[in-house]
Amino acid sequence: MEPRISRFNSFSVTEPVPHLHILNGRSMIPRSSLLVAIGIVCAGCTGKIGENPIAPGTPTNSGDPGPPGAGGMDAGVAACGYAATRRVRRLSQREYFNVVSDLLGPDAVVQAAGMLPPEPNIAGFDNQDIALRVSSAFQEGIANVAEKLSLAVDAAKLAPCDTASASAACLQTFAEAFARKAYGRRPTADEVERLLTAAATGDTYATSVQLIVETVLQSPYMLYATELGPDAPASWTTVALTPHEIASRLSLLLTGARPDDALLQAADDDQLSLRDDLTNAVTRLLATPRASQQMSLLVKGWADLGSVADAPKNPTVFPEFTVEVAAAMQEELDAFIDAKVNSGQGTFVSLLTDTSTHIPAALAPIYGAELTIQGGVPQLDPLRRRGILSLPGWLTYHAADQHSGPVERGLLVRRQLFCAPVPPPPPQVVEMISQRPVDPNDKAKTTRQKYEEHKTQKFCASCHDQFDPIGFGLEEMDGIGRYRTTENGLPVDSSGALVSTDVDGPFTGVAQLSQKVAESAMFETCFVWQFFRFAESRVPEPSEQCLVDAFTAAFARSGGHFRDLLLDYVARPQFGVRKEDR
Amino acid sequence: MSASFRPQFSRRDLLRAAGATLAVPAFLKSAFAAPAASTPPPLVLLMQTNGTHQASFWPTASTWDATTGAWDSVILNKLLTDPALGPKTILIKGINYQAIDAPHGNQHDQGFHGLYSGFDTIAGPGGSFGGGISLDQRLVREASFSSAKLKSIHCGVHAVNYNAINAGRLSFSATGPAQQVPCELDLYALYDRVFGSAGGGQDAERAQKRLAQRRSVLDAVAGDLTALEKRLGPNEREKVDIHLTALRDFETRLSARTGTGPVLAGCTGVKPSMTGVPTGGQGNEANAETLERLFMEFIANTTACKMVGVLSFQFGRGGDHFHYDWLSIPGMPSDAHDFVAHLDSGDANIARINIEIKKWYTNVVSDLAGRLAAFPQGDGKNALDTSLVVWGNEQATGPHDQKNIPVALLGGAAGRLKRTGYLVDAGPQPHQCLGATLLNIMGIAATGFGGMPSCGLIGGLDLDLSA
Repeated sequence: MEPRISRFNSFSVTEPVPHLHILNGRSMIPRSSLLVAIGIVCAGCTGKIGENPIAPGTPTNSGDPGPPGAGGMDAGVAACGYAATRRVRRLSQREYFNVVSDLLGPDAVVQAAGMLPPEPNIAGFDNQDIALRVSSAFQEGIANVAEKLSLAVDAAKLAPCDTASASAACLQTFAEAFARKAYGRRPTADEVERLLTAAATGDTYATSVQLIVETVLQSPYMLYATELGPDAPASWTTVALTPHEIASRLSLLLTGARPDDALLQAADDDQLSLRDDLTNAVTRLLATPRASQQMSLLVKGWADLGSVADAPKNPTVFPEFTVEVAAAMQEELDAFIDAKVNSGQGTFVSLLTDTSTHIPAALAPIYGAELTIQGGVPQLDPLRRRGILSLPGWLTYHAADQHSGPVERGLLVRRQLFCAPVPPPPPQVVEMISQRPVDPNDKAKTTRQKYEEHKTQKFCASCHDQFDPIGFGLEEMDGIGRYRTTENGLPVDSSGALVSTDVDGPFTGVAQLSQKVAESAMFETCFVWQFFRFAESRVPEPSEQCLVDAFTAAFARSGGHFRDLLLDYVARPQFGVRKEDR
Repeated sequence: MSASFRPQFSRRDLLRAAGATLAVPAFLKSAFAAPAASTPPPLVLLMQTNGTHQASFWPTASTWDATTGAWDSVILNKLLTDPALGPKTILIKGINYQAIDAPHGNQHDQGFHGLYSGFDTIAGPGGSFGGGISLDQRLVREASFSSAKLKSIHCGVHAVNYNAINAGRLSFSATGPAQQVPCELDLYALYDRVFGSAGGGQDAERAQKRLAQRRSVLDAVAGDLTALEKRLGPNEREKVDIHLTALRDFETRLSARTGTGPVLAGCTGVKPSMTGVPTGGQGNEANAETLERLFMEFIANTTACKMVGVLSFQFGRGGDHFHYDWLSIPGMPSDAHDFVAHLDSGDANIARINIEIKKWYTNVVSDLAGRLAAFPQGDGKNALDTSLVVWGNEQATGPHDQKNIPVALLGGAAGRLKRTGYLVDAGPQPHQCLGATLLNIMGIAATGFGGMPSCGLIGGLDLDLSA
């Protein structure tokens, strides 16, 4: 039998972090150094950079022996500066409704559609702690959701009770079981008492059941994921989370919901403290449909992609962007991501280097002559179309409503794919734009020529030189992803350039850009950094850069497989602990 | 007003005033409202966006009076030349947006959240949010709306940006810093809530029972929150504090919604004149014009029936991007916001288009005022006489200027506006003075508003705060 949680240190990050490594023949440059270099370059952009998300790690070792039974675990965590203290994070609306679906069925989610106020994604992800506060608007929405869904509950089905005289006992049994599923742990006696107190205002058994549902659906224990550990001060610098908190961490990461019955049972039985336990749980959960959705969300968050149909397009300029075409773009995009992720067996590089093969017929007007049929299968030229950046769905979403949006595209690549911070435009830009607007109706110039104005203005060029040339290199693809050689009767110039990266240099077209990005070590680290954001629901602290580096190194050694990244992440010591902050 | 009168300050005012060096001048004190002796008039707050075309908005004469001359405002012509509406209108010139410190976001955010709150905007997830409680929510807490069925409604017609950037611009109503109150869009649900079960009797009894149940649910949730809070460190505790505050605010509003005030004859089962108009849809403005007309009808019905204490309405989200296709303006560019509002600084063609858009807003507001004026209220008064409509704007001009924000008061505020039908031009005044004035009209003695505890009232208004 393997030892319990203390054996996590067999993956200890105290081992030397291989800062120099090779993946697919890429350059041997320390990742954190590269990313810091970008920050420095961009700092020169305005001389006033807000927040550089990547900073070099500052390994420390408190020398604390760790909690009882933890062996050397604590030293491993401290050495890499894992920064999480007692935490609560509100579930995103997506996660919340996944839990609602598990509790009341998918129809309940349909009933509640549109009842909560819209919430922003933070750089692609909807689960970022900083954005998930309970505002008045959210509170009102969630209370109304809880009321609506509870009133629709059929108590006879959800909480069947044999005899009317036993209704009190039935209520308690139901309250405990329903709350356990919603909270991902057994409710305490106090919590059950509060549920039953609310239920007591119902004048029938059915109404009382509904009141329990209404309460649970807005309880903070349903709304928040907690990482607190046992309810007592610890004398160590790290505290092990409870098995149920670990179970919720796992399930929220892999399924976007609370633990299923098997995982809850494992937590009840304290069977989540071994590396093998966790590996088995990850393997099992990765095979579920929810995990596929979750991995797809990771990729879409990394690429900052929302629903293609929601991309605003001017119907006069792009009459071809119909509902059917938007749906087909979405279908191709989803199929491509699913195929590349492949339930965790795929690699992240394939997202940038493979060519789409699932091409719905409705995309024929978009691909036009590019599309050939060989053996009855639609084919695209990989020298022109390769990787997610070349898909019409991505190109449409990341474009302006009336043109190709080279600035937007360049910014996206720089921010999301290279993790390079770009400050927001200074206030005087509004006035400058008012004075010299870019007119989309000007037919005497190409889009590129209009935005090359930035180069002539020193004030603009200091920042725009960092990302405009990236977007210019994609000008061969218009605002809905159609290949073109002319615009407004003028030849399109698709020569672009990457600057301040580890793969600097010229390129022409999206296929060449994708290949360059795929060869970038900075991109690799950035992807893992984005994964950390997704998994932890927060930006890594500067002291955690060593963790990101360690994940990156292991990820590279594995050949860039998503599954290995997940396994490495949950098997490292930080996954099951927090820092003591009392 | 009694010589022994002492203004009633809110705790927030007192706290802010404690940090201020300005004492309240004695002459100002005498201008403040006495403790509310009677029910305040129904109040309607309208928020337009993207400013106006200044030269075409204000009447030429700076001392215009409805009894002595004709209005000559191009944009306001329909409202001011209407014999029933012009004499009931007050234009307030000289209101300037006044930052307290360093508000977040740009002028759209600042004016949208600031005009009816008096606070600087603050950063929030995905945009800029109001930095403090807005006027409508403050009135919910402090005004005596005992005769209204509901204390407040915040509603509007808006097109949502597709990826929720500038999330703060979805609603200007707030119960506290970044505590956004949702803007209700479902006109038909609002009708159901306001007029659906107004008959009392068994429905009212059932509503009270349901209210008691919801309160018990919220008590249980608050119990969970309090227990959770005790286990957290200081940083995380703040999250739960915000949650608890939102919960208690919701409970307050919940109670306000199920008020039991008297319902006037003919004010039950009131229906909209058109049904089946879709009220949602991201970015969909196909129904915006129809919905805005229907909302004016709804506001007139609720106000005339005295169903709601304060009703706030926003024409779109902050910095709206309506294309105004329904106006069929020749030469209208494809993006109304960027190409009309922002560029309205001298180009005659842009000005022409912008003026046409602003005239449409005048038509809509005139429609509301006309509906109110058509509701008799007894004693020869109509619903416009007995209520107050405030028509404000997030900015002064499209190119983000914040001086001379267009503000109009319509109605007599049940006698608290002693005289109407004139232009007030008392020189530059911080926008917080508008909020302070409205608080006093609504029976709350306040020397200031929002982040400015001692700004005083709008100069030049002829008020009777004891009415």
